[in-house]
Amino acid sequence: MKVKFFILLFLVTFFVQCRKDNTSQPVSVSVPFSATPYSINYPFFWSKVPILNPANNQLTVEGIALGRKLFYDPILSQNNTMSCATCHNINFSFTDSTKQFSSGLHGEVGKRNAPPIFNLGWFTNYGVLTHQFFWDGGASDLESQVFGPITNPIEMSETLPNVLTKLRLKSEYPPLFKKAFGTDSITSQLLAFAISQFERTIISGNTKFDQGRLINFSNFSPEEMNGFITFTSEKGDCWHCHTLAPPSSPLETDFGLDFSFHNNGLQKIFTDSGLARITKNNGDLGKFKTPSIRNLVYTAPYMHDGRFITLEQVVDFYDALAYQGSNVDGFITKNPHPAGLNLSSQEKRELILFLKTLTDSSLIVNTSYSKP
Amino acid sequence: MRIIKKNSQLLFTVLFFFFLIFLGCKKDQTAQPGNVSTGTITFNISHVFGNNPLQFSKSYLTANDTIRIQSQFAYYFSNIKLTKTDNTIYSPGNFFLVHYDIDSQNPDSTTITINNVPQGDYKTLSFVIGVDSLHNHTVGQTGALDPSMGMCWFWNTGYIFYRLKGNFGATNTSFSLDLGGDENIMSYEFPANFSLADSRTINIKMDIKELFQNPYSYNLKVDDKDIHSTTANGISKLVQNSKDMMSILSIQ
Repeated sequence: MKVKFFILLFLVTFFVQCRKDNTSQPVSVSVPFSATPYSINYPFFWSKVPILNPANNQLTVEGIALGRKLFYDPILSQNNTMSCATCHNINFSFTDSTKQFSSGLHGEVGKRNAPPIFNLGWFTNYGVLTHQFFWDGGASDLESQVFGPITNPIEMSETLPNVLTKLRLKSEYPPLFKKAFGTDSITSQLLAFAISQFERTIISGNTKFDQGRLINFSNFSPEEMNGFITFTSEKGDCWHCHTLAPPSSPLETDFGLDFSFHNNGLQKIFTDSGLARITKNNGDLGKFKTPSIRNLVYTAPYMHDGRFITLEQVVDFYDALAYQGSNVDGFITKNPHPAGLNLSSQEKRELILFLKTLTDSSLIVNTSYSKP
Repeated sequence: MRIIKKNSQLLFTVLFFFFLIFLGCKKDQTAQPGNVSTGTITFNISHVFGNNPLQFSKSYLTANDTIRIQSQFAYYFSNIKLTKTDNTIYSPGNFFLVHYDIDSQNPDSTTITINNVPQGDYKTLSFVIGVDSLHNHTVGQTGALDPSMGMCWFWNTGYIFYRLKGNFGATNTSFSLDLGGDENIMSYEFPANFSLADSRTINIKMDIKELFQNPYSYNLKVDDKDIHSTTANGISKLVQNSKDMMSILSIQ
């Protein structure tokens, strides 16, 4: 009886307080804007770690559709000939075919290999704060990254005011922005929001490897399994940077990268200073963002400068060719020359067979990601 | 007696809950806008070089050079904080972008107005030239922080706090100074004793010559004449010099 009375009083207290709040709110006549919330269909058990979307840019069906259209629209470039997809081609896991360096609008080439686009949303969860995108970590977040290639004179070479003017004048765009964001006044922010939303939905985790994680890798050949063991052993030691849980681990989300930056000993003096270009910290010289170990079949050539054409060259490099200087990552220098990793040709072959199990062939034919 | 005691417990409990309601209501009342009378503060910022009003293509003297300022002079004025004599702080949170992009524009002064400033007696004004670190690590923003304003870097995410372009010397060598980076924010705090009723005008002076002197005699022939990153060598000299760049002339 007494308890009930207390509960009642408590409820009355809250009711009185809350009622006041409600009545003090101005009465809104119009229905507030809302686009259709979109929830990511995560592969397998990946929903254990949902992507953290920025609070002001949650995924919506309309926002993603707009972003996808913009991603494939050459209107974003100065002479309307290049889109994001020109260098981020779905057929190559959103890299630029087999080119070492992409050509810009005016024919110039850069000095870095176009990185793939998949599983980018998790950088919000795990990435280095303020250094998340570009090989050197120059972009703090996906929304900020979007503007780089559009405005870079050796890429799409357009100005933001021009892009916005063109979008405003193209009759199909203002209604699409209205659907996605509740306003047809197109701003740089909404342009970046839409493209980022689309990019965050590009998720790749449907591979023989991921399927194997569920069934104790019974789908692996003995060679692939040996390669996996080499990859996650101290001998091969690939996994510290290209993070995958060892074979015996419980279900983990295997991103295949560590969201960090390393100097992997590519050369003694870097013509491209990498992360140090951003931080001006000498300790960051030659550090580049760890690329994903996924979809390597599609993303050749390899390294920030695309110097290696084949996976065999990559494995040979890590086996015994990496530079051993003081600025090089400890995971490289702990296996000094001449022995290096000391992998046999059999082990190298198995390692590459294993890497190929991380190929998501459903990504490149996914009609949610292709040109609309 | 027992019943009375029980009733008094009940009375106490009821009173306690009414007290809770009272607390809740009081909070509502203070949170409601409109109860506090407000006024308007106008910042009238005059841009000078030494004793001369700033004009594009006019020549000015530093200790080391003759220099001319060209269009695209721009800066962020933000993080305005007004402290009352009772130590309450009013901070509107706005970002103002002051920019002069066209040669024919007269860049000698600018006006920034903030409304809804609580009336009362004030003692301190502080503000920054720049963008605070909370807003400096994403450029997908709107208003003054819209990246299409051209005052940010995309290769290294962040805002350009202060932009000064021009040329110097007999050969008209160009210089271009884009200052930015969290550690290079330029903060100012001044005593500002005034009472606000309806409106006040605070006259502020920005003396660009101060960027080139005290403590460092900045020499464009020797120091960086082009700065386009947060970590350029010359930037810390300019930022240290900037401590005298702003001053309050008068409060009307």
